[in-house]
Amino acid sequence: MTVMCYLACLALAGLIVINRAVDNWDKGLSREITVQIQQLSEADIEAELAKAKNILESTRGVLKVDILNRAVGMKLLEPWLGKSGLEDLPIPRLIRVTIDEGAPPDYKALQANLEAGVKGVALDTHGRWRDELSSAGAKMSLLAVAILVLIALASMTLSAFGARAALDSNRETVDVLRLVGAENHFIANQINRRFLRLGFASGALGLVIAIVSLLAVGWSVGVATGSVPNGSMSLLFAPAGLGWRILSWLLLVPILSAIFVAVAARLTLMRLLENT
Amino acid sequence: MIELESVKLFYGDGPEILKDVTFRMKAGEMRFLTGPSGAGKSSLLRILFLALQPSAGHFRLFGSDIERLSPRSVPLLRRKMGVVFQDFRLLPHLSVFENVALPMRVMGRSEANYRLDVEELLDWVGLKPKTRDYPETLSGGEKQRVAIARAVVAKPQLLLADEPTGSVDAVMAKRLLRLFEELNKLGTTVLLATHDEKLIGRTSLPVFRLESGTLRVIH
Repeated sequence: MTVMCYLACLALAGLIVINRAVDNWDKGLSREITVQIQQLSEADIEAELAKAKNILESTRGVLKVDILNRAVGMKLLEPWLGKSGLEDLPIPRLIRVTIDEGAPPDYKALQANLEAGVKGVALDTHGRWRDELSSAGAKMSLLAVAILVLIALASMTLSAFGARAALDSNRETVDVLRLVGAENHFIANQINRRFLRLGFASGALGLVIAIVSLLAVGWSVGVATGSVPNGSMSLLFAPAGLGWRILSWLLLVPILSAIFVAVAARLTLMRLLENT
Repeated sequence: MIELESVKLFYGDGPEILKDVTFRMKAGEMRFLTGPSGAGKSSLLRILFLALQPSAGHFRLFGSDIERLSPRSVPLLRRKMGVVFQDFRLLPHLSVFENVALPMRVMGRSEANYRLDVEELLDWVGLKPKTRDYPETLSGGEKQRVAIARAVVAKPQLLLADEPTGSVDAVMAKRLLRLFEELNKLGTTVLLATHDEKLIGRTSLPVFRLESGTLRVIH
């Protein structure tokens, strides 16, 4: 049961971390949009950037407009194209636009205004990214929930087998209780108390081991260097860590474990006692 | 209280353990059930405390037809009975006090409600100093007294006892017999199964004699 509770804690922590990470990404992406201006041969790129900035600043719902310099665009392409030769490429220029999440601009109207006034312009509202992230997050959440359900079912099955074994090994006690007039629910209560204690104790032990494991993961992410896998892990774990919110959810595991184990044991005991 | 009519008991194709046993006991009666070892005394008692179903015949207890009894009614009938088993049947993980108090707990009474009764009874059977001890530390006679205390603690309407004085000395046997008589005076119907002729000789109570599965009434 301890192993089951440990796995349940990890799955639950995973579920919370995924939800929080998706939430954070979604908030980050919906706070900003990007305007991209291609370097066309017939156009003065700096003039087009200035026109775009004017249109953006006069649009309702836009809070801040930052024209990113050419070096930022080159930096973004470095992982794919390398460092050399980027100076000669017609790298598009980017404008980072911070928007008011409470009253966002009319993106269709903004796109039409930009296309009418600026050459080579494209508006990216990050909608496609947000949809893909939400979809991936939902799938991962569903998987974590499925794992939790499987763990609960496996724990209840184990508990049912345990109850049957407990009844067999306490046959003499059960006989005496029956002969002094005990009803089945009284007998089930006597055995069930042990399962309630066992469920809670194993749940608490699983929780402690899970907390140690999560702290170890958090620590290893904390000391991570800038490699891509470690960077991804930081992205996933760093916003959540092992905060009070996760801890309070994890504290539910021993309680739920005790309830599931006791309910499964009681149902099994009552069925067996009624048939004997 | 107890009505048996042509009750038979046999296991499979085996020999008849009880043959056409017929007897009645009215509320408030006290009788001995005697007979040699293997005569069927314990089997008859097992039928009476509803641990065995007769193979044939009719059995009524507390006015209920046992053949028609629903499984849910069995515990309620058993609460009206106190049973002393030959092998004591004490629960090893419970103390002397807890073993004696078991029928009260089963009936849902609180400890405050029965504590004095249990302590008084343990004093009566000479086990007050052993209240917190566990069965494994007790002698055979002490275990028997715990079993008797457990059987009578709830002041049952019917007391069935299988060799209740088999493991105690003569003085304690006399004392226990007095306990059963006192209970009987308070209205409990008592059936004591024993092959202790001395114990039977101490009273003028009617005796059921069971030999080779056949019951005779001796007055």
